[in-house]
Parts: sequence; structure tokens; C-alpha cells
Amino acid sequence: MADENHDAKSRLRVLAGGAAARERDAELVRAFLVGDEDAFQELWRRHEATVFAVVRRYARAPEDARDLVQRAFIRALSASRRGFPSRNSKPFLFRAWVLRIAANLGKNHARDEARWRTESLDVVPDAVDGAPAPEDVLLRRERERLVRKAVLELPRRQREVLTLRLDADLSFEEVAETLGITQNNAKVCFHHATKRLHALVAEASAADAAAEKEDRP
Amino acid sequence: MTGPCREWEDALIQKVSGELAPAALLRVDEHLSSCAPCRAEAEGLAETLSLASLPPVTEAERSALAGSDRAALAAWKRSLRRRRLLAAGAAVFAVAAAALLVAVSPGLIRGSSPAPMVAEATSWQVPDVEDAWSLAGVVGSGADVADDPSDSSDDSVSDDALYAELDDVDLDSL
Repeated sequence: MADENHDAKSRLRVLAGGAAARERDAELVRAFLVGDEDAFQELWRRHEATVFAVVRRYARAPEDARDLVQRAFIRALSASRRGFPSRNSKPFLFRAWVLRIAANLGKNHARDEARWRTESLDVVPDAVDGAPAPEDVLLRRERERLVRKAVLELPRRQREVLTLRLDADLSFEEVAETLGITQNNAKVCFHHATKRLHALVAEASAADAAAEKEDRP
Repeated sequence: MTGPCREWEDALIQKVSGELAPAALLRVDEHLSSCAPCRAEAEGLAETLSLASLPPVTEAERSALAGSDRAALAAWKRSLRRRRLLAAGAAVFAVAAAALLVAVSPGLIRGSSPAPMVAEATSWQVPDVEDAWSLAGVVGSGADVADDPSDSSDDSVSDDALYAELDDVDLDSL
């Protein structure tokens, strides 16, 4: 299973980077916009997993994530119709567009969900089999909830950089390209986000330790 | 217990984020082998990122995604049909409005002889509906028509403007 994941990530990396991949995306978009449905299927295959990885954090149910993936693709293709650089020498970045749109759709979705619900957004299902969890597992799960919630509350740019790096496994170069910022900027944002989350975890650990001390007779 | 070395703090975050070049990584690892507080800090940072990461994709998620490409394609086609219907409706409206204008204008303009009006009417051209539609501001409403390819003046749109547009996603427009 781990090997499969590794293979899938390697394939993704080959597809994702480089001018050749970008040019292939551009060809596929052009072909699709003049009616080639096979081109759509190939575009979908090339980017579906990464787009899904980006929206997953914001979706409460798998069906929500699926809808967000579909919307991101349609929105990116619509944007392509308007902004397709037919007279522009700059490279066409379909992948960057669709990932950026996905991140924004995801955040908007989470925001809209939060308006209707009072409990915290615990998006992705815990990998449990239903059996009673030992205390340390429960504690870890609680920490995961705390940190994932904090991720959603990070300043926008920090959140975008962190999630593109962690969830979609993008390199800093790809993160920068997706967000239209410099690589250095992306690294700085990641740095600040990590520091902020780490401080939160340290604070929670200290509070737990203090509570435990008080409970002791 | 003392905290991590201040001068190594940034390097530790770079290490856990996987952004260090091999030579720099080697230097950090050498330091970690001899500094327990920094080692603890590096482990804590790695743990934080692990807590922030999502678990592997579940079978339920894979099932939900199966076949969604076809659904997305169908949604795209529906939005195209809507756009065409809208454009056709606009054309009918524009022609009807123009015909009405031609019919009632002799009565509205006093003192003018009908002859020039007839000449004008015969030389009248069907207006460019898409231009009129665009000028009316309807295409800027965020509806699907906003992405109409006829709006070709946007080909030269700047990266900044495009990114701003990508950020301004309207969930109801799809």
C-alpha cells in the first residue's frame, strides 16, 4: 500500500512539473475547448488526485470533496476560455489555475458550512475501526482536531502554502507557481505557519501536563 | 532543560519541511547528533506537521470520486447549453426591441417626413447582440455567461487580474 502511494506520488511528480507537462495541459485544454472530450478525460486523469488532495481538508463528506473537484475543473476551464493566452507568450498554467481555484472553493465551502454548523470542522474521517481507542490514541486524535482547525484559521497565504505543501505534496517551486508568489515567499509562509502551529501544540501539551499534575492526589 | 539553540531554529523548520539541500541537511543532522534540545525541537516540529497532515484517502472517498469526470463533463455541457439559450434569448429580445423602435419612431419624432425614416429602416443592420449584452454589464454578473469565449478582449488580461479573478470564486455560478 505504501509502495502504491509512493508510485502514485512519483507518477504525479513526473506529470506535474516541467514545461512539457504545461504544454501538454495547454494542448489538452485547447482540444477540449473545440469539442474533444477525450482531452477532458486526460486532463482529469492528470490532475484529479492533486485537486482532490487540495479540497479534501475543507470537505465534510467525500461527496462534498467530489463536488468541489468537479467545480474546480469546470471553473478552471471557464477561466481558460477567457484568459487563454492565445496572443500571449507567457506559459499557460492550467494546473496552477485549477489548484488555486480548488483551494479557494474549498475555503469558501468550509466558510459556508461553518455558518450553518456550530461544531468544529472535522473534515476527514478518522482512520478507526470503531473499537474503543486507548487514551493515547484519543489524545492524539484530539490534537489532530486542534491542529487541523488551527490550519484553517491560519492567515490566508500561510494556509494556502502549508496545505498545498502538506496535502497536495507540491514542491515549493510548484506552490509558488500555483499562488503566483516567489519560492522564497512560499518558504517564509510555510515557516511562519509551522511555527504558529508548533506553538499551539506546545501550549496544549503544557496545559495537559498542568491538568494531569492537578489531578494527581 | 534548556530550549533549542536559537541560531538553529530556522534550520530545524527547513529540515522538517524538506527544503534543505543535502549539504545543509548534513550540517543540521551533525548538530542534532550532539544537541538534545534541538533534537527534541526537531521531533516536536515533525510531530506538529504530522498532526496537521491528513490521513490517507479512504475507500469511501475513492468510491465518491469514481465516475465524477463524467458528471463534470455533463455539467460543463449543461452550462454551455445555458449560455447558448441565453445568447439566443438576448438576440430575439434585441431584434424585437429594434423592430418596435422602428415601428413607433415616426409617431415620436414630430416634423420629420417619413421618407428618411424608411430609408433608415432599410439600411438598418442587426445589432451585435453579444456586444450589446456585454456593454449592458450582464456578463459581469458572475453567472456562467461571464466566461463566454466571445469576450475575446480578455485574451490580453494581465496575470494579476487573472489571479484576482481566480481568487474570486462564486460558488453559485456553476
